[in-house]
Amino acid sequence: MANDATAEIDEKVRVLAEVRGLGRALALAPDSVVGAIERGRRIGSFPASFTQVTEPAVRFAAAPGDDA
Amino acid sequence: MSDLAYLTLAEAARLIAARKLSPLEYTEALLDRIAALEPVYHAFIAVTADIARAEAKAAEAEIARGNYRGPMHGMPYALKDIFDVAGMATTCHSKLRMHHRAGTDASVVRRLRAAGAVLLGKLALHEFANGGPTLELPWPAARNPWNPDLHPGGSSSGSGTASALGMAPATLGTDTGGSVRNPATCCGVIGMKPTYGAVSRAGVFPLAFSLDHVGPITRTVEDNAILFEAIAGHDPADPASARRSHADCRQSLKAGVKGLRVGVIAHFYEEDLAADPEMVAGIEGAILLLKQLGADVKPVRLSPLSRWMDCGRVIHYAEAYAIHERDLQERPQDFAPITLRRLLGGAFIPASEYVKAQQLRTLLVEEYRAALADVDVLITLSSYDLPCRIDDDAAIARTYERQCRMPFNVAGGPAIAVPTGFSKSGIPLAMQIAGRAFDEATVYRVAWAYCDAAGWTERHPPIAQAARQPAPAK
Repeated sequence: MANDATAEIDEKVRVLAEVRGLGRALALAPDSVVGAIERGRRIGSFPASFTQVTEPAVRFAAAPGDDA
Repeated sequence: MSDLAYLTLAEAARLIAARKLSPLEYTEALLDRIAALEPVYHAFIAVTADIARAEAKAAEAEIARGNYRGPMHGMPYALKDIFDVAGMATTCHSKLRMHHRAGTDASVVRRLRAAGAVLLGKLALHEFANGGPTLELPWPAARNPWNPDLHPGGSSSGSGTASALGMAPATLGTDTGGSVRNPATCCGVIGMKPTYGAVSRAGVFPLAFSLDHVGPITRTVEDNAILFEAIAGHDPADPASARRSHADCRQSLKAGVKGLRVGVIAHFYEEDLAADPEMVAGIEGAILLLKQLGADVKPVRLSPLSRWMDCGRVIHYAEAYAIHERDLQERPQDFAPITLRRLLGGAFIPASEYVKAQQLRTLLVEEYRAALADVDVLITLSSYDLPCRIDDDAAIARTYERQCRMPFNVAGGPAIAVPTGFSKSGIPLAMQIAGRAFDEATVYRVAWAYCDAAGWTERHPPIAQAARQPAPAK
């Protein structure tokens, strides 16, 4: 059972890596590819003011209305 | 030789302007010092001695004719090897770029050439400004000037090492998540990440477009302000370049901090992530000194550090992966293992997460701006740990990302790392001073007042015994 589960995970990793064109990287550094898949890089928390339509375009200015 | 090595840029500029210091003699002294120290410290990937001598001679002749261009005229400097210099490789300290040749100068190099500066060479870095200290690259890794067994911070590692050791009075680095401020922290020098858009990135190999900044590393705050002024300003070649002229940073540099409001983001290192007690003691001493100098110091709360770091890392990893994807697919074996691991971190970030990171960033930028409505600058730690041994991969993996520099890359405002003392083992401690977007002048003002009173920048590293041998014959 455990071996089947491991084989299934390995196959998923292989497929994910192949889809991203990273077959060579997987062969060279499997731990790095597995680590990248597992980490996923997701944001853990958002402020209360975050909404699904928050504008993503950043503007840097010293004060509101200041034209950078 | 050592007297010239530790001249500040400002002092050297005054002497050159008064024709009491020959740019050529100054350059030769620094080339000798580089030759003597390089076998131990490995700050440079390429020393451009011929270019340096030619530029120094030209500067000397021009100044002798009465045409002095300003404080960078005849001034030696060195570049992280991520800036294009026409005719030279921009190696990014990577095997993948060994045979590259730049066709033109980066915009900041053009500005420095126009100012009459003298290029000493190109400096070591972490591979593609993203790897981490590793000994598995075609060129050796730069070493910590205070103890060559330790890493010097990065990714602008050679810039920190060369500055601290008196190899160059002015160096440039780049900063995507702290890569100017980290080597400044580890090497005990001054590293400024200016406002996003204040200094052109044209001709600089990118790591993550929306977080990349070019910044100066020097031994003193005044020197840093001089170098910043020489490279700042609008550049049409960089689409992110701000259409504004920067303020004169030197006019108010020595005005002191009496009455200035200083906000301390203590929760970053007291609640969000535990820091080395010596690092905390360093910033606490600095806060006390700023109060004694007349600053109005008060606590400031921002979002938790993890939110800033998550936001920055998703953007950083996703953008960096996009840049390197083809090489990661076709020739992964040519990256150092540490670089490969870090770059692959962006391969599986969903597009939706990247967009959410940019959405979050707009809110964090607003939060940062609101915090600076009530104070003139913010201060917090830079690194949470002292630098570890350069060959200790486990310690590097454990400590390298324990930092609070990324929040200022996300926020976009200027942030400078300044020394706050030394550990019991003689390694520099540091903090950051950050300010409003395009208000580098106030950040430099507070940094100058603190550093002038504290005196830490007057201490120089002991030279390792192995580097005290005679320099090789030219």
